[in-house]
Amino acid sequence: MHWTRKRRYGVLTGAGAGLLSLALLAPAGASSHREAPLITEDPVADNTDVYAFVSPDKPDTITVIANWIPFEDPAGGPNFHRFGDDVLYEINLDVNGDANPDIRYQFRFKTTVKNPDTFLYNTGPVASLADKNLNVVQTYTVTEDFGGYKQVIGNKLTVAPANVGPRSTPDYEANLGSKAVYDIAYGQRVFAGPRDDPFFADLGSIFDLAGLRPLNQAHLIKQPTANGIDNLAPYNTHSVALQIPIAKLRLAAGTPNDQPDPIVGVYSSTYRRQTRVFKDGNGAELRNGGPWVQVSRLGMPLVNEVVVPLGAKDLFNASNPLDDAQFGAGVLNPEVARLIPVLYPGVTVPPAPRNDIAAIFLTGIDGLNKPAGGRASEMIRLNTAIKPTIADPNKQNRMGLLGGDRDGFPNGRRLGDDSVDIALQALAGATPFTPAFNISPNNLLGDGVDRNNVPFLTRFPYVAPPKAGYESGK
Amino acid sequence: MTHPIAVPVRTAGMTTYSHMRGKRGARCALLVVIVAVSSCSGSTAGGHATSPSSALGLPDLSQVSVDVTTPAATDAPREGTPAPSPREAVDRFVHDQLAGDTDSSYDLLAAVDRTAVRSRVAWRHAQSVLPRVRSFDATVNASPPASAATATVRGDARFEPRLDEINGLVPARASVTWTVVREEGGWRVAFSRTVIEPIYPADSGATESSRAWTDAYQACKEPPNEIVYAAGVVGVTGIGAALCGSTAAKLGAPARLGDRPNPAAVLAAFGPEADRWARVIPVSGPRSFNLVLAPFDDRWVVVGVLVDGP
Repeated sequence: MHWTRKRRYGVLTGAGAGLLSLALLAPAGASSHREAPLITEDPVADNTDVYAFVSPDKPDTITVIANWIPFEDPAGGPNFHRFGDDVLYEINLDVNGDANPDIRYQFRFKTTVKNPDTFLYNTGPVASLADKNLNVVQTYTVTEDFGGYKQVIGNKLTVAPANVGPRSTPDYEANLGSKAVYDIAYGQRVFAGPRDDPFFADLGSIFDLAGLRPLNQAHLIKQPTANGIDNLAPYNTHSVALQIPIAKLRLAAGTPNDQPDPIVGVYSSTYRRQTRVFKDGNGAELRNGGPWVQVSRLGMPLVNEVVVPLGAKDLFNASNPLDDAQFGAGVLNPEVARLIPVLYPGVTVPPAPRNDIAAIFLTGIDGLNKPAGGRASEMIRLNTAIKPTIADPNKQNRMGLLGGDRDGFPNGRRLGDDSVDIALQALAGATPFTPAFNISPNNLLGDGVDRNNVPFLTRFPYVAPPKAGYESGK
Repeated sequence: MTHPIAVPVRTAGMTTYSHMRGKRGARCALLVVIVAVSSCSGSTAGGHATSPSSALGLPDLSQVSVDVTTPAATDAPREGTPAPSPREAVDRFVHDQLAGDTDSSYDLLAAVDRTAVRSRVAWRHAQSVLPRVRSFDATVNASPPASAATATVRGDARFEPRLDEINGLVPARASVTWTVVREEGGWRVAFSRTVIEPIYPADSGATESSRAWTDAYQACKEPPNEIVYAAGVVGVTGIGAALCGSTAAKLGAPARLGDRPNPAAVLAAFGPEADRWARVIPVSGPRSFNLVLAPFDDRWVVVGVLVDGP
């Protein structure tokens, strides 16, 4: 459907964009910090990680956390990092396994300035979200699309501001971070703002030909053995956290509340307008045009980062889980699994086709988190009937399911799950699903970074408060 | 997060690594060479070293075939669903949409649209981003020649008005030209080729809403809710307060958004279409700025406050 004006503007807009976006929305890692060439140039739209778990302190709900903006330096003022005003952010839930999202949560942000005559982010100490000294304020709306019925469920909510430092944002978490948690419609809660990046990994070594510092002497190209380095430790990210009653998911799935093991698929996606131009060549006049176009998506950690080949990474970001069959071959014969025996001589891995990897990453695991009749697609799949093993996210077994926690990754993903080590060992076959390979050394593979550098909160939104710009670089 | 040194040990042609986690891991590291790794299992937050499959009740997936490479197909329409005439195709389509019968309206979608939409489920979900027709009265409905592959049906429509930062503006009234295509011996609606010409309220309404907005701030009050965008005005929002106590605010003539500098905040929020539907009322007085208004239902609402520059 095209919208036009009587005077022949003839441009596809409004609902026209709506229908077109069907194709685009419909075609909708780790982490996926800088995982694909195109999105690397657009950090504000770059999904970095998605987490989904039964809330440890409120087990009748699930919590979904989606992060954007990789490697966010806390000291990056005076225009501190923020969500994109021209970006559409989404968290998608598939409650029946058909690879179509049944509930979409859409987030739109807007930045307002109180005083345009100063360059300052804040004009004095900021003691509350409504403090007049906070000059640059970002607010947002949450729109819920529930099976085709759209409703704004959160309006004029304030994004937690940047943690500037002790003069500007004293007692940050008490005054600002914790105050940015909102109760919204249908028993749901939401938070948006900067947080400590909860992902932990030795990226510097991993991307140096799959190096694992503790195993440096076992690598084909030897280096001195060393402890792992958490390269994410200095950085923040921007989180959107949602807490959703499980009963709501069952309602969407059409299953009664007493029906067991509802499994929900979770992924996030990001959209930009089709074109960006500088009007009349004026660098101060940025104009976005055209319908929304999906530029990033993320469900399971590490899939697009290390499973999808370089030539298909941008396609993955632009595509819809419904079409993930196109990536199936790469999952059945993953490159990293083929590299492990080459880079670590003596390690043997299961032969292709890797149905175990396909189950973990694409279909869900029988008896754990595979929806009945589900379609293969890349999402985090969480069995919401499995209650949290332990309430404190800092005390969960970092190896998740492999460590004996049925509520851990790859059944959902908790903040403390060591998705890098779990994925490495899974690719090496060191899981219960391929018992013949669940042996040493396969089940000892790891990057040597076992936990986040700061503790997680024990309450929603669970992600740790952001590092202060003042402390950056220490 | 200390890590003991990993000691590769070659035994029977296979390298075994003693990289383990923490102190418990270090003990395990020695054991791994000497005895079965299973003795190291159960470390608290450390690496797992044995199969917990029996305890977890999980299957051996190595031999299980999983279908991960079959592409998703497009749902076909039910048989006998094309309408006998262009007018009836549109009438039935609008009726089904009004009734929320998306299965039936999907059957009336032209093939090109079904290919874009993919499935009945996706079509049902798409309703949230499509304009909701409240009524449609055909005014032009010429019978197409027997050989025609396409036809049009024109008329006046009323929509459920909407304004948001995801799908933009849906006007309350519009002239609509539906395109229908001949398929399977009947007619179906080429929804993506349908053209809507919005009918907006008169521009004078934008001036009236702006006057109410400035009057309220000059009286040191918040403006009435019905003339302000419910999800929050974009731009330099603190400027209204600068009018408090003054009587000097003067309104200029309505202008197009594109004719004013710095519209980026409004365009970022509502999309490029805002360049067409928005009206700008310049305000001069204690501060000079521009109010940006959107046509919502039968009135204009303030959606942005922009300044020309520093």
